[in-house]
Amino acid sequence: MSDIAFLSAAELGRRIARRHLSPVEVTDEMLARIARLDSQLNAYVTVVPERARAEAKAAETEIAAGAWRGPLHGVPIALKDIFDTAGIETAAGSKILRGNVPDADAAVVERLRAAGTLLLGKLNMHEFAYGTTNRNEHWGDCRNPWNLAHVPGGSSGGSGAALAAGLCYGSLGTDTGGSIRIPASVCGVVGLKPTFGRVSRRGVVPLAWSLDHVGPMARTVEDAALLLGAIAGHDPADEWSATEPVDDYTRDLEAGVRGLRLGLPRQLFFEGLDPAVEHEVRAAIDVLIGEGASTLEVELPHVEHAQTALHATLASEASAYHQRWLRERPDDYGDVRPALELGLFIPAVDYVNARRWQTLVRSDFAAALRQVDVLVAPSLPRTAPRIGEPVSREPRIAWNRFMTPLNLAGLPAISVPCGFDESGLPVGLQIAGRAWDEATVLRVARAYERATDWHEQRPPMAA
Amino acid sequence: MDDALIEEQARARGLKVDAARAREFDASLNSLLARLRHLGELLPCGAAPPPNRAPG
Repeated sequence: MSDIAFLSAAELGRRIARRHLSPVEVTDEMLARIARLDSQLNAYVTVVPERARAEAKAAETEIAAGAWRGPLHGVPIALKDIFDTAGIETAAGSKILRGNVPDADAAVVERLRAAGTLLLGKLNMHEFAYGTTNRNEHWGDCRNPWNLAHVPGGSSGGSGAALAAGLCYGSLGTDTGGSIRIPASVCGVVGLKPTFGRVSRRGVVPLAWSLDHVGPMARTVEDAALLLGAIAGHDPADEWSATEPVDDYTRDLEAGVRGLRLGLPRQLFFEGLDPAVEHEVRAAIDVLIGEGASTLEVELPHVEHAQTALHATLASEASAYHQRWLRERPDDYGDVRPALELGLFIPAVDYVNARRWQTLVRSDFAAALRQVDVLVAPSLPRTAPRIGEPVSREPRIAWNRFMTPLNLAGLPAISVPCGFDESGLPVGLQIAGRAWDEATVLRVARAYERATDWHEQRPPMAA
Repeated sequence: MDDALIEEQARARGLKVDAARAREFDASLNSLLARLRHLGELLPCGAAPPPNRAPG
């Protein structure tokens, strides 16, 4: 059965629909792999085997009765521990929320259940999603399957690690300053931050209301498209959820890039790159040109200070959310405490100015995306740091600095695997698009994936 | 800000800022506030915060 562990969710769903595979057998295989491999990774904080088997049995019965729900019916997934799950602890990687068992599912959990997925468990994350490494003193550090001495990225590190190691078929993350795309990039999987407002945040522990995005993480672009299709759409219970119609994200996946124009940002995104990252990303752009795309350099004059604007906005909003706990339970925080305390000292004027800068960044991207169909750039300037290696928040060298402008802009952005550095750690290619145009982002990502085999590489520990 | 002021402001917010961490905290805060001052100086007068709705 081990050959099924790395099937895509889409292919697994097709085999389950044809009744060539049983959701019960697949779930048992996943649970066995988690039991065998996860002690090395610490990707899971909670596993729910009885519930997963019961859901698998129910899916099998429904499908046999002709009540097929769609392409994700019977597919086992796992969720970052930031999404409320009725009856299952949701602690957001913290000590503060230990023992918090929600009464209701988050909106996206409801939607994934309606699509027929079944839940294997909850995944490790950086405490309260406020960090990029997934070091975690309360739940233990999560490790990168490609090299256990390195971080899996964060904050959705458990999602990246579990996917790369074949311990689930799909996942969801949250992205406030890169927390979907960072672990996707450094674990060699796919992570999509959709347009702001595309996916409901109801029942998701917030980090910063004006920047938080929920999105899919997967091993293939098609899987990300299927997951996005399942979770996207208006939710009146989330004030910032949009009413924009939801596309069929799989419809144009195979349309290729012939005739599309790729924008290469002149500022920020190609500065200070590790040579291996630069080599792999330039090669990836050449692949897309070979597939028929053209390129154009575009100006983004205000992105240089995007990291500072994001830092002030994120820190202010996060500190507002945490203010009471900081006062009453300061010693229950781990490494996020200094950053949360810092936010309490940011003057209101500076917060407003940071939001004003956000408008300029949005305008930059809007102007650039009137000239091109998508932007392409490295996801990160470097591959995964070693566990314990300092990771700076200083704007010029922060390793998420190519991602934060897209959080301010609220635009869809995906990371797809595009190679490895000399020590075998994955490199990611970032593709960003116009608001609500996830379909084109996915189409370009799929064209690249189809022309390469990076997404088929597996970490040796997961074999 | 000096250590005493940081501690005083922290206390006013009901926080326990460890005195030993005050200097490091102070450096981080001053660095951020300096960057934000610079950002404020660069802003054109007409720039307003974005609307509280999705882009598009």
